[in-house]
Amino acid sequence: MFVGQKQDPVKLVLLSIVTCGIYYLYWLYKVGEEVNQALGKEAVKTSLVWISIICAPISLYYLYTLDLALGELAQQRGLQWTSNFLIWVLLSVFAGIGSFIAMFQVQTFLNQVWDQYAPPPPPYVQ
Amino acid sequence: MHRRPRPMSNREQRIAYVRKAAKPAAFLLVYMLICRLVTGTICVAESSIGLPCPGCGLTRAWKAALHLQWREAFTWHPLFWLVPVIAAVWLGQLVWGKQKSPRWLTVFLITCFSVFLIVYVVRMVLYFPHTAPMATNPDSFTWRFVRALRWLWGKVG
Repeated sequence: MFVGQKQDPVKLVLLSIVTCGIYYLYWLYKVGEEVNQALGKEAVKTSLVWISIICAPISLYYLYTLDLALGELAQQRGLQWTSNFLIWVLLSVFAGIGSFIAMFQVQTFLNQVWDQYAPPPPPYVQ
Repeated sequence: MHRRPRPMSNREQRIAYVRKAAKPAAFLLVYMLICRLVTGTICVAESSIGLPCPGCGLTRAWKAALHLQWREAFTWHPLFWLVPVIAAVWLGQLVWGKQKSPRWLTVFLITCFSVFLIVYVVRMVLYFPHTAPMATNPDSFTWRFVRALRWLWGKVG
């Protein structure tokens, strides 16, 4: 079973703000790769992230496919994922913060998924 | 008895991909139309947060290029010619590519991304916020929302 990298969502959001959103795009790419590996198929076209610099709606479309893929992953692993895509879009349009909310929620959920199958810590030896 | 679904062929996978993309694409087209009517621009970034994005000026550049006004086209966006190249490479890979996400495609796209980013920074330094297309948009949704909040705050206060 594939286990991705656990990350602190708050740190990710702060890094995205500091780098004017460039880290956000890199994170989208990495998360897409991880979700694809976990699902065992190309559910998210990660190459779209790099094209989204020309046209912002592409990143929204990417988020939409990621949202669908996360639903599938949740179903596969017996977890619950509530689709928030519309809220992300509305928050992006009216307040410009939708992508950060998406980042926080997706990473929090993925941390939960990876936690489920994380290998146990090595035994304590005195 | 539960039967395993037959794995999809490449062609079926592509058709499924187009089907999956059709719904959000239609939604975005409608949204862009609303943006155009309300905020005066189809650019989602400019109409939502009111700031120019790295793609701002591409439509106007292409309009000028189609009228063979090359100088004007390069002024609107110096990288307008790169867009069909990216689209052709990406779509070509999607339709005829044997491997799903080859490394060379990622490298090519990251290179284009970096070039667009560098050009964006240069244009922001030179033209923001006074010269189109790198000007601010006070009619954007966020700016309107903030103005409405201020107005409400004034009423309450």
